[in-house]
Amino acid sequence: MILIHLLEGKAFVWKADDVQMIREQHGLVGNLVGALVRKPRQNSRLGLPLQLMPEEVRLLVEIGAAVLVRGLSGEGKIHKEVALEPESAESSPSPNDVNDEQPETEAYDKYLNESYKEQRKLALEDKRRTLESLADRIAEGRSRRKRQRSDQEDATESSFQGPIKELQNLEETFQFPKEAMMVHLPTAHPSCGDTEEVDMCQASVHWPYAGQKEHEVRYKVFKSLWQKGYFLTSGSKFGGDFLVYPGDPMRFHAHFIAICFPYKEEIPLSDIVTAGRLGTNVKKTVLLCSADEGGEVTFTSLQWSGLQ
Amino acid sequence: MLSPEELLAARSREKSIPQRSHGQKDFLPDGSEAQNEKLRLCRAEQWELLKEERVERLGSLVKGIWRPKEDLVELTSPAGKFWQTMGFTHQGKQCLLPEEAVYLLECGAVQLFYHDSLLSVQEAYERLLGDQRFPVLHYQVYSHLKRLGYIVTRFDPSSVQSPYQRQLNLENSIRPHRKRKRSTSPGLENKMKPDTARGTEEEETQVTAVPSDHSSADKSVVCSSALAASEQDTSGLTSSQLPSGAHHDKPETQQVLVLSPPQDSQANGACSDSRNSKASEASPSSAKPEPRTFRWDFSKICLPNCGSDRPCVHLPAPEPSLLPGNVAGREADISGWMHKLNMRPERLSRREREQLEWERKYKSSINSDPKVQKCSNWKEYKELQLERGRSHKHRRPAHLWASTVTPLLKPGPSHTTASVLDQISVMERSFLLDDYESWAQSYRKAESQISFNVYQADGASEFKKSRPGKPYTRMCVRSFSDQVPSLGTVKSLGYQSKDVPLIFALVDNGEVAFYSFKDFELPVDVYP
Repeated sequence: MILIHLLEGKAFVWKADDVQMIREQHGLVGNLVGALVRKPRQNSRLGLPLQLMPEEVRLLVEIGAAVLVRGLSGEGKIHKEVALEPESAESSPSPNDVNDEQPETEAYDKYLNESYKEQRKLALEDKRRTLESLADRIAEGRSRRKRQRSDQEDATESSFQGPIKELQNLEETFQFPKEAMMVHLPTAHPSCGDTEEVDMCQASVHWPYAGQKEHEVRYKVFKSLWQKGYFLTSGSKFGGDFLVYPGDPMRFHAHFIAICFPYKEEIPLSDIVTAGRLGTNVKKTVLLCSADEGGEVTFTSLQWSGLQ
Repeated sequence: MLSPEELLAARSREKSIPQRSHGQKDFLPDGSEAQNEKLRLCRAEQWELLKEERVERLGSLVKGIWRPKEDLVELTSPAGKFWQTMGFTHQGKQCLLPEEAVYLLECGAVQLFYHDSLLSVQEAYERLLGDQRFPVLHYQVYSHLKRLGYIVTRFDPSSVQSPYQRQLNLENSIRPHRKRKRSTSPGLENKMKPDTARGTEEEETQVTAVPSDHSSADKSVVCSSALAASEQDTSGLTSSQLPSGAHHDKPETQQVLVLSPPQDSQANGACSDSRNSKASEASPSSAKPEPRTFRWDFSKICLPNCGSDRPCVHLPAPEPSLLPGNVAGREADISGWMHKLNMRPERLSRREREQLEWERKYKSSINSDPKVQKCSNWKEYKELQLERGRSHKHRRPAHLWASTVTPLLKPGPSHTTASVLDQISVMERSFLLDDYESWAQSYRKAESQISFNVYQADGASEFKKSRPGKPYTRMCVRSFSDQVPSLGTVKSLGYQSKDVPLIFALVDNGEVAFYSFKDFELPVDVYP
């Protein structure tokens, strides 16, 4: 089950496997908004988390592929902490501050020590293997150098003795400072922790979209296009609601700009001209979309044609 | 958590981003094997990138503990290079703001702990960000700008300097909201406190000293310095240093002021000359009661004219009451100084001569007007102007000019096309920041606030945490679902930002776009 985490009314997916599943199994795209692990200081390619549009979230939950949850550790606890603060902090505020410096990372330090021992062992193995595979070449190089020197100094001794000396007491001489050990900074929270499922049918601070007229129309249009096999992304860049792709946006250009209108509302002619003009300029067809009370979605395409 | 094997393996991980080199996007999926293969490759590449976890050398990580009560991250190991542009010192400890901590965690530069456990990026988002602390929307803009390489700090309205303050270089006196100074221990900080307090006091006194200098009557400055300087010159000194201690910071401007009377009289010839002579003779007009009372009685102060046409070589001793206590005045003969004046005729270039020729033909000096020459002071001159204006009006036909509706264009001797256009323009040009005050009353509570100062981080910028200087731009964060800001908001935010351009950052589903409002002046296509 995919977990979608709500934070301030925005939906995030934190696991790479979930992102892959959303894209490949469910044909939904979303938007990566975090820093890319491999190159964090650039904007052209971003990484986890994946932010989902409210329509994408609702669709995933309605088809039973995902659960929308809300972390209680963040906002929820602030209230608790604030509420508890007077009693707990009043008695001894300053020693508390001093004390928790050490114990706060104690368990982690323990884990770190164990990991360090393991890593040192592994690094040692690694070094031994490298040395062993290169031992012949190193020894050869050394004896050649020695021979060169002995040619000049006319020394008699020439030694070529099996394993090189580094390998013999590698255990003692091996340097692996603690700073060199590798540490994992996890992206997703390992366990699902303190979470609460969010009811999407009820409008709340966390999910304000339920029952919003605009959201309802957008959702119906979104679902209908998705069912037809299209990929959809946010259309705000083109002044619409969605961009509609015939295949995965990685490999295909968008064909349509979908603009949603309430079913029985007059559309100003200037809006239609604006939309049509924009669509032709970016070589996309504008779809005027709406859904009636029964949920039937209608699409009207705009074509720019001159009378000739 | 990754196993030790995986952690070590990460050392030899690929460091560059794969180039998306799978050719142009296709128009339509046709179900062909080639298309599917390309898509598969693209996706595989993407999942590989996303599945990578952050693995860093322990030695290159800075440790920080999240303190929710104080809303900051306290560093427990020395900060890294980021300290140049981020972080602050709080009670002698190096600290980070929540947004800084989350960003640095995403960059793999810090480890964050809370309640004995390492925070994942997800937890950091959920604990450090959020409505009560730092809105996610703002963080998305913050991290976007940081990833682009800008230096971003929180906007503090009280830190905005007026251009006047900046001109006076008051930057020192305005201290950032949070103490940015790096001190090693809390004990040291206590010791430093009286020091810094004294420092600010000094700065404050400096601050007050400068404006008071400006507000005092300019005339007195000119006059006293003129006297002092003329005296100095008589004693044969050529240096421009002045004995009066109060003005030691501006010797050059004073010299200009001193030299201006003789130059003036040379250029304007008879007019100013007659004025001067009359003043020195204490003419009846100057003896009349003045509407304003000055500290200086100019009828008693002699302003010597040392021009070539009127060689006045004897300067009487200045009134002792006009001089500072430690300066003694005496009379002087400046004939020796006179021949040092540059009396050679001015040599003009051809262009300058042509210009003069043109001016002689088409321009007339008001000083050549005999009626103006008869005026002995400004009052008389202004009366003359008024008189002339009245007589002009008499000449205008009453049926046009007597009623409330009058022609836009007043008949006059010289009209250029531009001035005519200017006079007949009914609508005045307005600018974005015009009449802010009247708007401010109706929009006291702005619907949005400026969030960030943005500084450029290239070699040219001189950003320092303690002295950030003038920002490159300021950011106001808005959601895509918000309305376009009202004119009132744009005005009040623009006014708040003063001369730093204001940019609106628009966040839609995690994507950030920017826009700004700018004044546009229509070009006027006429020659004067």
